[in-house]
Amino acid sequence: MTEPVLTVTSLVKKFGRVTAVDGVSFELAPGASLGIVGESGSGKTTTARVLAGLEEPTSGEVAVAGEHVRGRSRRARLRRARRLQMIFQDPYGSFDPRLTVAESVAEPLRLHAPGPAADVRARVDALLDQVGLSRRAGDSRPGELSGGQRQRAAIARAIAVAPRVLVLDEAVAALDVSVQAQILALLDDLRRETGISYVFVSHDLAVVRHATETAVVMRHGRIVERGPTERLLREPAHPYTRLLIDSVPRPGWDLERLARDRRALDAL
Amino acid sequence: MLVRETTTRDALAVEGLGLTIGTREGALPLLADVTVRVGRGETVGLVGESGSGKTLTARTALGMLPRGARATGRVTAAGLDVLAAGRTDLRDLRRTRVSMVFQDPRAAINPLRRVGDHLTEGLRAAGTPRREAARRAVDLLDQVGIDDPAGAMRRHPHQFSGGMLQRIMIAGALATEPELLLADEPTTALDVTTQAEVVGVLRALQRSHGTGLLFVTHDLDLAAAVCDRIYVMYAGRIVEEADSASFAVAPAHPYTRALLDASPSVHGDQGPLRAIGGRPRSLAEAPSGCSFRDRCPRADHDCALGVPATRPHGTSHVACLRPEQVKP
Repeated sequence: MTEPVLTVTSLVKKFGRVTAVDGVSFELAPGASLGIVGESGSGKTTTARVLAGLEEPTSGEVAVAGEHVRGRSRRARLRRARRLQMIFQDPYGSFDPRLTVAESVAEPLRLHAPGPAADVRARVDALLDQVGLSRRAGDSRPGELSGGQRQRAAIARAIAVAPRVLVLDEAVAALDVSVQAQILALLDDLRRETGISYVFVSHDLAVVRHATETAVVMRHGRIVERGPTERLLREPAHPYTRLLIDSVPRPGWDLERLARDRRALDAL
Repeated sequence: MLVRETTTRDALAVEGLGLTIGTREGALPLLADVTVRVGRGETVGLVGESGSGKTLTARTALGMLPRGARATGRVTAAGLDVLAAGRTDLRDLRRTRVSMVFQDPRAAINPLRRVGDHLTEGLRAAGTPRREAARRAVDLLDQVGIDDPAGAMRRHPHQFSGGMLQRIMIAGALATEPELLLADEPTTALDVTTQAEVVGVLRALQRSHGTGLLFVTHDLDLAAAVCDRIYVMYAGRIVEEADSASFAVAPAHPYTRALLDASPSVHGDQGPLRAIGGRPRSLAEAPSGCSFRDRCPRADHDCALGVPATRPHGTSHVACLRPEQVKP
């Protein structure tokens, strides 16, 4: 058994009296992709934000590549960022609109691995090429790019420092279907080429089925079911997992049965 | 004679609609030759990616054109010639005969007014007495599954979750028993389990009231599950019209096929995703001839010669020169 690249143990995050994440534990092997599935209020995004260091956990541990990460000091944040990067649904909000895409991608390189300008430029070109962005796109500002191009730029910036883990929070949710398939293919290729691991947070079961091998289903801050993604979808054991699957539209959708199942679950 | 005409006419008939907007550089085309029909009591899907013109088409049915836009063709909603109608006729149309439900209910409801005022507004404008309007509104809230409907009338929008508020919007949209309901991505912002419930509510009410429903969505599976017929839009044009039973199993346009191949699915076997190269286009950016030809695996020289005419193919109508080459 290889050493997990990410170990999350008994993670709890409270906001005042509200417990957003309630005892979440999972492991991620190198090169693996784990889905975190849930609806709004399930705690999936809070879990992702704790992993990325954007929230301090109330209790519990997060270890990346065997090292516990905690603290908000500059040094601690840099150490964490070298190992784990996060991608958001709307990359627009995470880019400086005044910088070109190439300048934004160069930023983490300067921060983590300072070197001669020519080396940085060469590495940025290689990264942009790896995510399928032209040189011209690299010289554009984020506002001039399409949503798919911006998400490619966000991926290039995230993998610039060669992190071990990428946390993707609804990273393809805002994209058109045809562009979403391109980004999913790019993520597949990157994982095969670099051995990076993904935590894939999504409400979309179809996307999770495509992008992950194992998954956890979260509800009200807790993991209610976990296992190989294909098994979860074909033979769900928890009634909530079953409700999620049955809620995905298809011909002959039985909406009345769904409403009954949901009421039964809420009454539990 | 007149009676017969009103009972058989369509809730919505968009015929050869073109839309251009004037800019400093010249006229920018937005829609070209769009034809969409919604029968009374029928549910019709309008699907496409961003920039395809689906929202513009739906809004045109209410006479809501972008500022400075010029429309050609003909739009008849609930019997009114929308493009020729004056402000009074359009206001009357929007108040009582055609309603719209939007993606974000919070952006479409006045947060300062009580839910009850929102629900009775259209009825009061149509001359229903206050008490009768209130009774109808409570009844509708009950039908869309709001607990304690009488109490809900006195509450404000922020006191409801997104899913509950969207139910209230649907109740409000159907309060005046309109002939036509335009729903623009009405469940896109909702969780999957909530989406299923809201769609159930929408369908049940629409059926019992005999309302024609134009359902605008980017979600192919949702359109196939909800609609009787589906129009597929690409770059400001309709490229395929199909009944929803054959839509997913026998697409006639290469773009529809490509969309289905690019969509991951939960049900059934998992095939590899096939991405379409490039990105969705708007009409202004589209190439000459067939708009999809620069992304189409089957395009050749002929596709550049002119915009393909719409013609029947199987149970569909398709704007493609060689739909027989599209694999089922």
